[in-house]
Amino acid sequence: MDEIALIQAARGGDLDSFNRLVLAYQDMVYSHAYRMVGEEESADDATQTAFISAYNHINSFRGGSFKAWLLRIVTNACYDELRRRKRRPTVPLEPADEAGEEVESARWMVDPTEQPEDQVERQELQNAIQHCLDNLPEEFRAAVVMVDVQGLDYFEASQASGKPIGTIKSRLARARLRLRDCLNGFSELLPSGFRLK
Amino acid sequence: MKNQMTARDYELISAYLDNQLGSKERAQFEARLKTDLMLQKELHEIGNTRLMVRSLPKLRAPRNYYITSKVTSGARETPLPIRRSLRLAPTMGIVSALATILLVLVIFGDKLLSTTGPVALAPAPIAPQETAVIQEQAQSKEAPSEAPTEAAPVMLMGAPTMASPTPPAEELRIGETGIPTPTTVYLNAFPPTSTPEDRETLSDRQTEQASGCEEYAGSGINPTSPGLVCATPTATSPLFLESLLPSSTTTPTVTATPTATVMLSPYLENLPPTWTPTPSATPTSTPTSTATPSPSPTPSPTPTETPPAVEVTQITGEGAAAGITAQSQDQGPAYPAQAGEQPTSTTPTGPDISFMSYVILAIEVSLAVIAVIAGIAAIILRIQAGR
Repeated sequence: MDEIALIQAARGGDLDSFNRLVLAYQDMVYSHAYRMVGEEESADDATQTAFISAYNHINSFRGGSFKAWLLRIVTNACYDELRRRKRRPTVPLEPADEAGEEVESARWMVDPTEQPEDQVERQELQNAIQHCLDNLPEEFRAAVVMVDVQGLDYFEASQASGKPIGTIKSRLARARLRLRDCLNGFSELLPSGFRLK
Repeated sequence: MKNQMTARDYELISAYLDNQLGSKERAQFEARLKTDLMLQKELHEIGNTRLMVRSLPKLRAPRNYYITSKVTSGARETPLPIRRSLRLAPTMGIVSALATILLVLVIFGDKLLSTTGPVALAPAPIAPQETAVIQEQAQSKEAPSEAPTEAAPVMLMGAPTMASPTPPAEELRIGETGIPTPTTVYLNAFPPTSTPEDRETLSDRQTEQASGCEEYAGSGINPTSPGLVCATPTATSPLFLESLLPSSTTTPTVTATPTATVMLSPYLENLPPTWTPTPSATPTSTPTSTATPSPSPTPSPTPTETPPAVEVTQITGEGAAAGITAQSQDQGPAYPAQAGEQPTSTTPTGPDISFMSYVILAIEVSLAVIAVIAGIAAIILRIQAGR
């Protein structure tokens, strides 16, 4: 069943059809939420909220890119989560391993085929990049995550954010410039070929 | 080499990296890259940053986010905000429309009432006449310093002074019926020291005053007498006030001579009858230029002393204006009192009028605010429902 048919069935109240759409897009939605809010619990809440909202407003989808439509919903949910977190800051609990010790990253994020040293370096680099993403203004962050993390083109990013293409271009350029300046402080973490300056 | 990088340069770099430049722009950018080392450096660094961000792994969802019936039961009920928006939007629109209609009706009604209001508030018709009387008194008091105007004696505002003798009153037959409207009132000042010689020239002066009256009326000397109209009635019976003179003869004549009479505006028609002529009141004849003294057959008041005030005699054929009474000399105080008289009016007092206007204004403002707010709310609710 193709995406358009699933959407039409979901608009008619078919819950199974909608859940099939959820299954197809939940990784993308969660990934986007995580890159936006920077932590798992908040990303989980934002993802669940986004799918519930998408089901409730399925009739408002009037064609075009369903992916962009979903990303717009989850981006708004992330904005709400960030504002909520600012009002009530929390310290997330780190998941515990089999020994009961906390791990810095979730087990499911670990690539079992990778060397430990490489894993550490990669993880530290990802943490540094995520740290620089967290320091970006929300609208700049959304633009660079949509285009560079999710792989949207400028037109899809414009639809997902509800902003003109020119605005997306400007925000993306300024976001990348700030990321470049931020990552200069983690030069030792960067691969040799990526070391800036 | 360009040392300064602008925001536009970074946008070009970013778009170039994403292959979002047009063919022409791309060619220009590549041509510039060949010569601009700074641009090359920045392009390299931004490109690496972009690659690092793109190297971030696409995460997998830690769980399935299926929508269950429990969630949907609550979720389906949550379109309440949408339903509420859909319900409230037309309601707000109706409220806005009704408020607008009521506002229009209130404004229209206020305008309608305001146009009918001034009629009730019209000043008493006596006002101009009273003003004339008051001014006359003032002028008479200032007689020594004022120079009388030409042809004034035969007009209401005529303020003869002691310095210049004025011709006596015009002929006016008292008691004659059929005196047509408008009521003709003659106001004359009789210098107490008028002599037969002065009266000899009465007829001559009457002629002069006929034209002089026109000039006087049109001169605007007495702006407080808007109702004055100079006329030369030929059919109306003149009232002979010669009896008021200390010595004068009256000869019954038909009014063939042009007399400078003054016909007042319809204001005076409403004057209450305060003095009605009686056959024995005054002789009905036109004063002639005879110098033969004759006894005054009338019991009408005769100036026996030097009155600074002007005698006013009112002859009414029908109806009479209020406030004008037959005055003997020196009834100065009465004039202001009369002038001060105001006809009864049913108009509301000042404070009541301002209070009502405030109430109406408050109602109009409230309706306007309700209409605007309800209209904006309807628009917002429709937009939200559409989303």
